[in-house]
Amino acid sequence: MKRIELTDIKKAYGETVVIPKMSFSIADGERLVLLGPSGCGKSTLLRMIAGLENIQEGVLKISGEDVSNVAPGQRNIAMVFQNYALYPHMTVEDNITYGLRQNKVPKEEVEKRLDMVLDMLDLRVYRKRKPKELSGGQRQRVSLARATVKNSEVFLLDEPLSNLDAQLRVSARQSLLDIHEKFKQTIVYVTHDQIEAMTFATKVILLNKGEIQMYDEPYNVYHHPSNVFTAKFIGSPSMNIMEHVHIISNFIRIGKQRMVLDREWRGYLEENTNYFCGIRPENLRITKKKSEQEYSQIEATVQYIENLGANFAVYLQVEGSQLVAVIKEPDFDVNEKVYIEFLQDHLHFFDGTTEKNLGRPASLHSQRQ
Amino acid sequence: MVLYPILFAMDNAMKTDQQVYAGLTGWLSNGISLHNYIDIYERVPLLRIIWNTFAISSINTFLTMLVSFLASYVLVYYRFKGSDKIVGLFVWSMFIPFTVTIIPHYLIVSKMQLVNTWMGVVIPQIFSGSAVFLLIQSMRNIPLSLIEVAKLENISDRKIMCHIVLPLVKPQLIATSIWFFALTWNDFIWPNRILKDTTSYTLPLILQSFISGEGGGGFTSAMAMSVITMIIPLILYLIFQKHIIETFTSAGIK
Repeated sequence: MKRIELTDIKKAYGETVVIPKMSFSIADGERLVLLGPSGCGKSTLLRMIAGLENIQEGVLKISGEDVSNVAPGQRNIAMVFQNYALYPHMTVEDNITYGLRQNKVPKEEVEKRLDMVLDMLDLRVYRKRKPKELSGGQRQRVSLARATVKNSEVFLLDEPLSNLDAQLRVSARQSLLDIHEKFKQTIVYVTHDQIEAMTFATKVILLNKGEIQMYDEPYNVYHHPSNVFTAKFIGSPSMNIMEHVHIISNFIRIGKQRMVLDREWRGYLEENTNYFCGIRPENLRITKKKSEQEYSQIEATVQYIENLGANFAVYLQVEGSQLVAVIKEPDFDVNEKVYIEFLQDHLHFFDGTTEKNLGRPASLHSQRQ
Repeated sequence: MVLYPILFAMDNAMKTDQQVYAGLTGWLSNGISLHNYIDIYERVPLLRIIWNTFAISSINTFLTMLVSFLASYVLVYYRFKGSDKIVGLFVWSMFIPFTVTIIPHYLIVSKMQLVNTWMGVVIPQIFSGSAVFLLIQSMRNIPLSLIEVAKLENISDRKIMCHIVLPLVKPQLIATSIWFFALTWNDFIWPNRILKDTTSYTLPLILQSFISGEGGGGFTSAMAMSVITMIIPLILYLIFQKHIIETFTSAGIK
């Protein structure tokens, strides 16, 4: 069932068009993450769903009803803000129950929901405290609690974890997952942090400049990015994108060098056109010794080596561009000449003009449906 | 430095003119004597005048705060055509010299037949540009997300105003109220236009007659009158001091 539907939505502030024309729908119970760089329109979209920004053109439907012009309080939506937005002059329990009490929810029901949420989020000890007496993590939990007691079908979160330190983020994510497990709301979550997106989402919408770049599950967004933007945005270090790559009979030509194409790839792409070629750092192999097989490797010089903890990131100079490889143990040094192999199962080719991913031959690693 | 004139007045209020002219100096050199105060009490309707002053100051403060709060709330939270210009108008009105508005205000008050009444003094004053300006600034300091959360919880505008905005601007409201109360208490020129007979007078007005010698008296009577005029706000401040300070310090720790 489609819980949220957006059709031909447009939003502009005066001359600046933030969202030119957008349509998509969100299934019931989905954990959808709106991901993208600053200014891509993700917060604007979220606020339009909430009713805090008006929709200039287009239709927004929630649970089948047109709510484009309905007041935010009437949409049965709960929202968590980045700065928590707790009422400073009220205690924790007053903060949590204020909305319920003002909407004439019976006292026993209010008590019951308050109890449940205090236990679920470990806030019982703090119930009589005011926000200024709480830490950031505690305030965030109160904010979550306030949204949860509403029992609404849709749960919106605007970068809720960005003010927390790394450890707190992990436990806060877990709390969120617990809440979703129990209540099965449709969650729309805005973030610019791709790790948050990939770990939390059942579906990801990647946005850039008000347009959807890709709308798919995290696995596909990572392993089968639909265009160059997506390929570069997801993954750290970013995917290596080589420009002006050509296919010449059974070879890939990168700059002045050539590499033999694996059998599976041959004939899949056209010759005499420009491509972007992408490969993730973890799918590169580096050797000190040149292989006996002709044209199976590309020469490169090591620029510098970064210790990432579990791995090493090796920055290489190839034909005037930079490639990054992630490997376990480098057995070479900076400024040395080395040889790179591609794991061609994990190559991506993007159209030279449209930048769209051209897919792979069926025999190779394909999209998860 | 501030205390000296106050103590000077209090001291001299308890002497007779002859003693002052005779050069009697030194604090309480004549002992404590309330003869001047009794004299004033017999000569003018003192209690009535004190009551007038208190009533006018309180009503003016209360109504000004009420009107300013409501106006600021609308100007901050409802964007409509020209709302920015209206805010500008309020700020600009702060710069209009008082002397320019006296006559138009008087004409309005007399047309409303409120000359020589409390409301005649109060009504032209309650539309205060400075109070509105101050409250607008305080409201703009409240994070908008608080209001948005309340809107999402289906809280009505009236409740947002009373339960959320009002408590959060309370320190500024209290500070402005105190200032207005004191200002109104000591106001001379405007009440002087509106209030016509002694029974309607406020303290500054009757004080003036003591100083200028119209009502008779002398130096020490005038001193006594001064003490009466200043002492009541001072006592009020001392009573509410703890609360006032608490409000200001709690506003700081957010």
